[in-house]
Amino acid sequence: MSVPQTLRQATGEDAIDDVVPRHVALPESAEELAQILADASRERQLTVLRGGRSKLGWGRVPSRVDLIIGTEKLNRLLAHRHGDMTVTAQAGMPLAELNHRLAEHRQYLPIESAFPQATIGGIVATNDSGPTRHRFGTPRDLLIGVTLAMTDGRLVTAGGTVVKNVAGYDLGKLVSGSHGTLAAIVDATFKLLPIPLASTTLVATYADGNALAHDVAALSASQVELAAFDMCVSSEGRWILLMRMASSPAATAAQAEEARRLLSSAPAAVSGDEERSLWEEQIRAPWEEGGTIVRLSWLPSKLPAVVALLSRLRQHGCQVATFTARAIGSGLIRLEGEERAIAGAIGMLRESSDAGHVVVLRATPALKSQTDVWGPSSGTIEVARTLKRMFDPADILGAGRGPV
Amino acid sequence: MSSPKSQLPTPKGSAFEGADQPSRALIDKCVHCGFCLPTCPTYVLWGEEMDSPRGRIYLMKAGLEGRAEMTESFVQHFDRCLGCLACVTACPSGVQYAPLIEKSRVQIERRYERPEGDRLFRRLLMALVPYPSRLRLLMAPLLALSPFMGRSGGLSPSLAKIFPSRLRALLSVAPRVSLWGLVGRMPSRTAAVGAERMKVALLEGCVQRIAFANVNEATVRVLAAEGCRVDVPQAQGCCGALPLHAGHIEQARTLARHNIAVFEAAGVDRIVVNAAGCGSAMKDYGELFEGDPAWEARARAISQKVRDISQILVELGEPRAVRKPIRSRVVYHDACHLAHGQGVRSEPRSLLQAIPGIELLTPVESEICCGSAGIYNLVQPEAARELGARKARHIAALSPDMIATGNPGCTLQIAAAARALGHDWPIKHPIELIDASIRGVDPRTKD
Amino acid sequence: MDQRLVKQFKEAIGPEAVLTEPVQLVTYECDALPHLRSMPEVVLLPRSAADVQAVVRICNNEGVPFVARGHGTGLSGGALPVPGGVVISLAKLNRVLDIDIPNRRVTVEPGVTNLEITRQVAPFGYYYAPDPSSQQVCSIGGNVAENSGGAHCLKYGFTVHHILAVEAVLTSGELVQIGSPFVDAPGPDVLGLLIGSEGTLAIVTKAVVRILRKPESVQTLLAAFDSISEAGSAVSEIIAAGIVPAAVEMMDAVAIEAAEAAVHPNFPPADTVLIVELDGPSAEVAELFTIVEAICQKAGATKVEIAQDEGQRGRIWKGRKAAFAAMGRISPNYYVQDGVVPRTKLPEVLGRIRALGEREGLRIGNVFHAGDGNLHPLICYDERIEGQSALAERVAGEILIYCVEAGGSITGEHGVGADKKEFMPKMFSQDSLDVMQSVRDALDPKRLCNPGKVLPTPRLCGEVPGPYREHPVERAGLAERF
Repeated sequence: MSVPQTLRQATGEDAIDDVVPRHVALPESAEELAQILADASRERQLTVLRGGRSKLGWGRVPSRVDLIIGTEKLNRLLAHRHGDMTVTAQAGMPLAELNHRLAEHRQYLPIESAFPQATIGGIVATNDSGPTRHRFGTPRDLLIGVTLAMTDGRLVTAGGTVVKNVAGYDLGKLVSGSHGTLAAIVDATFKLLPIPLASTTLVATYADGNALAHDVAALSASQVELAAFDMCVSSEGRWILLMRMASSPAATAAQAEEARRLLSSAPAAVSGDEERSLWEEQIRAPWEEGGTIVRLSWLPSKLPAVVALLSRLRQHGCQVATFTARAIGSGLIRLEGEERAIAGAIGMLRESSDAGHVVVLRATPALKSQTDVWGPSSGTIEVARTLKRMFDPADILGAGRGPV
Repeated sequence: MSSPKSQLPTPKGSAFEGADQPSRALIDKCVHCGFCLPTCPTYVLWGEEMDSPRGRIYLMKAGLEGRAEMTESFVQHFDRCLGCLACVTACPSGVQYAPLIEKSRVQIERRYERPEGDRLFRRLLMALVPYPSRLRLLMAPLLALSPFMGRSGGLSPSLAKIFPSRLRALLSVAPRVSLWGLVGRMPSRTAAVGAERMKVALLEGCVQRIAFANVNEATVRVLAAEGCRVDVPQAQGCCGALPLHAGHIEQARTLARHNIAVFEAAGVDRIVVNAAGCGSAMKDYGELFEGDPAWEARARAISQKVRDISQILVELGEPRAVRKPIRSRVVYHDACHLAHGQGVRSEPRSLLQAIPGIELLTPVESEICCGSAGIYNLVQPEAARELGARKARHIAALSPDMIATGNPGCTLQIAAAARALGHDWPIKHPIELIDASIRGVDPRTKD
Repeated sequence: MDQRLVKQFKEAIGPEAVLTEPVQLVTYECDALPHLRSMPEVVLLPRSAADVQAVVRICNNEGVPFVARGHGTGLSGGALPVPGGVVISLAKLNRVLDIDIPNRRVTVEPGVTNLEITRQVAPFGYYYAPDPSSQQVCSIGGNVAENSGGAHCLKYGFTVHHILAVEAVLTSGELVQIGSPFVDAPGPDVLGLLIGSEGTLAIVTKAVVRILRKPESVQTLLAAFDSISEAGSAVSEIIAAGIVPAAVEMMDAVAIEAAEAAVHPNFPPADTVLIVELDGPSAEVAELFTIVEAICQKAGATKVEIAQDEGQRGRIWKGRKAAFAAMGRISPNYYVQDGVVPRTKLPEVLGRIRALGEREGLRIGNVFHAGDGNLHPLICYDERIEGQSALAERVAGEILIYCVEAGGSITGEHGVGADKKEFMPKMFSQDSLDVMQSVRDALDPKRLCNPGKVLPTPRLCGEVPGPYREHPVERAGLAERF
């Protein structure tokens, strides 16, 4: 195998699910990345694309990893077209740094990650998102252009640098959520939003999930436009509803008033630094301690059923240590307990008609051997497999860990 | 992009010939945007491009260019057009569909040989309906059938079953006929009540005068009450709408010439029409004689005086005769030739809303034809039945006590469709409601 | 077409669902771009997904190309039939299947019109956001194929942001569900690839769409300006103030003239008219609207009209939405294009377009989504004048090149279709186009699904792109083109 300058031996720190790879490559340009990828494909080297290392555990346990291609040196902001409110950044640029730079023009990319080191490429590949998805969607909704390195070494683009564009196939959407199994994201272009002038968050507490669910339904049917709409369960078992309004100052205050009137539980209002910490906590909480983390989705009207499902998990021998969720119908459950019990609980969730997709995001290799982290196949996955055969004929990308 | 025409016949001459062809200039106005499709009843029913205004115009163009022949299929798609003109309302490019379909039908009647039964039926209709004396004879037997008919017309379905299909279609929309309707005559002049502010002449209409004489009477009463001297020229005949909309243009012209002369002689300010189809046809007399040095100017002069009864009353302004309450949920049905053909939508509504106690409602899909469309329900009974059923369902959803509509054809069509659904709403002309309001009677009891 | 094949179709979906007469076929030879025409061999009118599967399987087995069609309102020739192929019309799959208000979704068949969805959920206080100007007639299936936008996509995004899942017939005839009613489905976003693929990868037979709560308040203003640059600077200021309007539209003098002639919106006299609409919670709209109004005045608006009621608002939008079709009133023919430029480059590109029009002697009207730089130049011409059709085509192409040169796109919402595929190499490298072709071949290995659209086909000798031009020999009936 050709040995580019940027290649080195892997160490234990590069392990994925306790599997140590052979080599790590850190290309310094798009062309170099493409070349390395082409070589790997030709030599049938099982390859994992890596950004900030924050989500390598999201996936099956690999049988082996021959090569890690890290994007950490492809970390530049290529263009911030602030007048047009678009930005192009390389895949290895951390999201946090990007938003820091965009703030110079009072703009931002409305995506949050629980991981400070998360990169642009990684968040697109995993379609990672946070509470602000309630209003602005996930990376795939904000992505307007992409440059990909194919496994045969070609560098290709899709989309463009303008928000309104339907020319050609949207390969950017296709790789969103592909978890690095189709191609390497080299750079991505996004549409941006202006940083809101004012923001305030209402926090309401409930004795049980059903009371909270009732208020969620009431607010959802109203004309209050929330920027974020989250919930969580405190360690004492109290259910907490977080509602963020972000707009012009008078509007933000008026919206908060309107929301207050609709809630059955009198909320506290938080803004400024306290608000920021609150949301940071909400985003980070599930990951801060040990245990298995499962992502669950549901139809919004089924929240009460999900609340019931969560209490049934205890009957399966596992503790729901944390539950943080978006009212839009997606949340993270941190489970503690014996691996077998947890595997059983995951099975129960998957069988329930009230639960949609049940994906295991963090688990020990032992647990991963007892349950497929991605869940059952679907029509979408079947079609994606057809496309995978075209994108990655040698079947190297992802080292078997991904959803396709 | 190359475009083979391998399936089409080698271009010959046009499918059309002689005078009265659909105009190329008018056809070229169509930019093919398709805005007319969702409002065309046949496209709504079948979802096929050939039975949409855009498709029909495209066929006319293909016909003119020699790319389409006047085959049975070609004719069928034009026969299926209701001529409702909803497409004209929807069209942003200002395509004048009415003259296009009229001329296309003229060409078809001239150049296409219909199956014998069809041909005879149409000939019979054109020979009888536009001639009041003949129509009276035709309708006289209906007197005997009156006890078996619905409140607003139409033979009860159980009895209609015994007749063959074409006759059944006819009978289901046949009007109730009274002796007075058959033999009665309107007074030739009715003086205004109080100071006279307008001189008008009334078009009696063919089916209207026999089957809905009460509508004409109500019209005269209300006009008089509002200060109009109302003449009913005794020599008048059919306005020509029926033959015009069916492609018999020469017959239409003959009838029109007669009426133009009669109404010229009447020497009035306005010519009042209370049947939507007739009003629409008379307002288009100018186009009917376009290029005719002897008649065009006279035709236009008459056209300019034509108004629907609702337009006259709105024009007269503040009502003189007090309107007494009528408590009723009334669904107003827009007759196509009033709404689309003449752009008259708000006048009937404002007049009805001025009657205290009336709750006025408009059904969903109000812009879509009920299926009456001239003789459509006689020559395309299946499509008419589907459209009628659709209309009746939308009306039924509003739970009305009464229906108001300004066209006899619509009245009969909706009555038939309603009966098929098990409803028996009174269906009145708006003028009947205004008349009842003035006289302080309940229009529903006047059956 | 081979009678054996016709018989197969008739046996599969019923004889009345198979159109073979030339008189019927000719009406399907184009969509809303009438200068691109091609007669289909047969038109099929399935009534269900099973019907669609059946006919696609026949096409697959027999190697017959097929083109899916909604209501034929596309402006890029996406539904243009393919020589030797069939048209599969989805017009009869027109039922609204399910309305789920608590979960804000509606399940519809592809022939349901865009506006019909809004009509169905309006009584509950909801609506379907993407609003192409043809929304009263365009089909959801077509919207999915083109990833349609509309005036309000500035704030609300495009079709791809409002579809949760579809059921589709693959080119093999297999029926699959793509996407999910639940969020966060793992795996590549195949739905995102399918939406906007212009009917080249599959035929959609059902769509689950997302509906939104109707905004509490909508405020619309119309500002008249004496120049495009003044209007443009007003837009820049609005954006710079951190305001994201629901819609920002501009019309120039030519477009205004057409709209007036067609629907009489009574716009004030202006060189350029700017329409700005804000929607959302009342307090927010009220606060931001005063800022917008002030910005317009400051930028030099000669008149600012604020819609006082729904009727007035409707009138303003009618004027805007009728603009394309209304061009028919002021010009014998017109050609509407669809390019995008970065908003900051709008004044420059509009200047280039104006100069181009003057140079070539053609009137060019402009209607555009000023908020996102999506232009719709309306090139007026008269096909009866020798060479004008070709000239209009060339001018349209040159405008697209200006757009790409400014860093924009050759199509913002109408799609590439047949009309713009030759310009794809201006936007994408050959490698990129090759990869797109490979994606297509992976899902349509026999190249039967709407072939000849989106991606450029290798040019054969003598084949010239552009509108169909009849050769005199053809016109004389002495030859046919195969």
